[in-house]
Amino acid sequence: MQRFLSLVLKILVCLVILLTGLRYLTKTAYGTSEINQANLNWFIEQTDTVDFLFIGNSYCYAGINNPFFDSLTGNKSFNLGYATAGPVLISNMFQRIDSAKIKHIVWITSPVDIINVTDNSDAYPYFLFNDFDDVDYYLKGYFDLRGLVSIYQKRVKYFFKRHQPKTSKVRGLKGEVSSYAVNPSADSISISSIVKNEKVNINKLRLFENLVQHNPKISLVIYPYSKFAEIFEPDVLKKYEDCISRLAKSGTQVINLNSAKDLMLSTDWRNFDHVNSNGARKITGVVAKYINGH
Amino acid sequence: MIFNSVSFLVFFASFFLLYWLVVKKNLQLQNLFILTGSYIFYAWSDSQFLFLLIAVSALNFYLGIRIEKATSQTRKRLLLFTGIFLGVGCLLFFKYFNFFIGSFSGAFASLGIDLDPQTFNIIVPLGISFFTFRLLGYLLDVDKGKTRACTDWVVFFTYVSFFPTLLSGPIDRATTFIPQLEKRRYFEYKNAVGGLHQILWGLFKKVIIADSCAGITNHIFENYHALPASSLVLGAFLFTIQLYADFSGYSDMAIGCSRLLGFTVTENFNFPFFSRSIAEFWRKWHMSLTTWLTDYVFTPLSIAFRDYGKKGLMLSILVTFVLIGVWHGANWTFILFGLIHGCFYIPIIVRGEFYKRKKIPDTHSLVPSFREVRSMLGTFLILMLTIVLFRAENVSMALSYYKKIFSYSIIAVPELTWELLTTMIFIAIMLLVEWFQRNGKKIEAVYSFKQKYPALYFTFFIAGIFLFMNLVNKVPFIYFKF
Repeated sequence: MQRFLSLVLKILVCLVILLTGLRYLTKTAYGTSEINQANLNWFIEQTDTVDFLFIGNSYCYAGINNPFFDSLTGNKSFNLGYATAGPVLISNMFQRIDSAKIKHIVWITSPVDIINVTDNSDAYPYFLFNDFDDVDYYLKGYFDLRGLVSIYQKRVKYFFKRHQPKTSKVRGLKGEVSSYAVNPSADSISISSIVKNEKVNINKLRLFENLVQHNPKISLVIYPYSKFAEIFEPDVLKKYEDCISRLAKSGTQVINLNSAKDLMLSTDWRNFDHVNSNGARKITGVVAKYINGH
Repeated sequence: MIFNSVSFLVFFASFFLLYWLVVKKNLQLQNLFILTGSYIFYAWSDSQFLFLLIAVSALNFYLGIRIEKATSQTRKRLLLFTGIFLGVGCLLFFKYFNFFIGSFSGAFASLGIDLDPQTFNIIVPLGISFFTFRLLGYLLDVDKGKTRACTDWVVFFTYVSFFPTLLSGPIDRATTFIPQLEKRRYFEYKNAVGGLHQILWGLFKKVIIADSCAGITNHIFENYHALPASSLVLGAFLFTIQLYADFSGYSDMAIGCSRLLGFTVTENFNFPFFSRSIAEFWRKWHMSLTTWLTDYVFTPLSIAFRDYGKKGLMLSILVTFVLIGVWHGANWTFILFGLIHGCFYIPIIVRGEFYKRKKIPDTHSLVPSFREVRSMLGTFLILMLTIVLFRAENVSMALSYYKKIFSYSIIAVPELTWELLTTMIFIAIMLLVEWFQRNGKKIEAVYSFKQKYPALYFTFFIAGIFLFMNLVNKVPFIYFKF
């Protein structure tokens, strides 16, 4: 029995070593995907030349048309938004760029930033699973074997796929809205079920508030989430809105697009929460107008 | 609680440690511990029928003792038939009630008589076919004097509800299993390592092969109207593999768990895909069921019909195969499946070759002869085509599937996907490994690596399963519903 238990123990140790090694090996390939990495690297090299840095999640890269913004304002802007990016990932990003060189930062934000399911690709269920059941399964927790196995499988898959050229077109470096593509399966998944299923991470809210408070270069653009506000738990919405009010009172510039009524047209939306190129031009126009006025 | 779940992993790991570290010194305690674990396991999966399991165990325990003690043959028979009647009745009620009512009303409706039958939403208790057959076999063995009636209720109840084999077999005989419960088990390292290996091999078959096949076969069988014949052939092929990988995977895990607890359980499969005739196939497929039916149905029937010569033998075989079909479920497709397979024996009986078993031509050769390949492929093809009945929801669906297969679109290239390619690679690995091992041989390089570095070997095995297991298709074990 002792010999068998010792074998089992050795297997467990070997497994931990193997899986940790695998996790380390595939970290850069998937944890921060190649495109995000390329975008970030490009920006780090060109920070001096950029006047406006747009940050945020997929709402940012799908919602801001940088060439259009540049043409309206005469500035040079760069879009560093990528899927799932919330306060944790953005905080991490800030640590990697020379913030002294940045002139203005515009954070496209929404209550999605403070829910649990965002913030890194590992936790972004659309990229990990193929159907809603799987998403639901995953959300039960990281320590669920199925979720854990899935993360490893995806990491290894992305590790081997990282040099495939097609991925470089996904989000582009120049910020062409038409080239932006979120995982197509996203449209078929009910986000409401995800959001309502999960508890609110208060720490994330605090982090968001701290990041904005301690960085006077940040302006907030509130994404027009009122179109799909019903997916959020009321207390999430309240906490988020209270936070925005506090930030606005303390001097942060806030552009709230929820009041932009013309953005509520169905022709402005690619899916239920992402704007299409029409919507992106409208959002960009409002932001540019505000910036020109200030 | 299914074998490929975290809950079972936690349950079994805790059970295993307590079993060998805490209760190992006392046989009664060991058995009581297994019994408690088995009831927890069953209640976890199907708590509403735990009482049924206990009740039928108690009834058969009592009947077994009474049969043995009965002095007159009439009383013995009466008690035996009571047990059979109740066991079969229970099975018929839970599994076949709605089927019979539906079939009768359908037959009357075709004559223009509307019976307006009342059907109930009867839930089939998990594992009922398996524990009923175990109990029937026990009573028949006691009656024949093949085994003594068990007088220790803990032993008997544990035999009926032994959790690794409770839900999907193998169907162990009282003659081989009860004696194991009556002796203290000692931990054997070699046996435990073998058990662990068998569990992992079963897991590989289930979560990588069967679940990967399931995704493709479900798509093909659900959309067979719109797909070319070549895709339907592919669907039949993959479902054959899926059924085997699913059920033999479960059996391997059940046997592996039993070995870890110090038990030897009947093997259920003996590389059936390398059979060179349908008769050989049925000697290697679901062996615990086929040997059960051979012993308790076919043999008594063939003796009863021996005066009718070959016709009697044919009748016995057809009845046995219809029962094999019916055992799988309440559907005409299963009955037809059994009947067709039974019909394959008719030429063998006519030629007088029924009791002659074909010798394996060259068991030492890695490369099979042309004749062998031809026979194996022929058998597989028959199996593959008849297995459509197994998968089809009803006979008319099976018939239209066949109709579609035999069409010009058979020459069309089926849609080749990455998923299909990887599934095929894993199937090839499974078949190759089984081919090498079919005569109890070992793949030397793998075996010596396993002997030298067991921890590394198992780590790679587990990591391989971990990284390639199919997460998209969450398919329950097919044989759970039987």
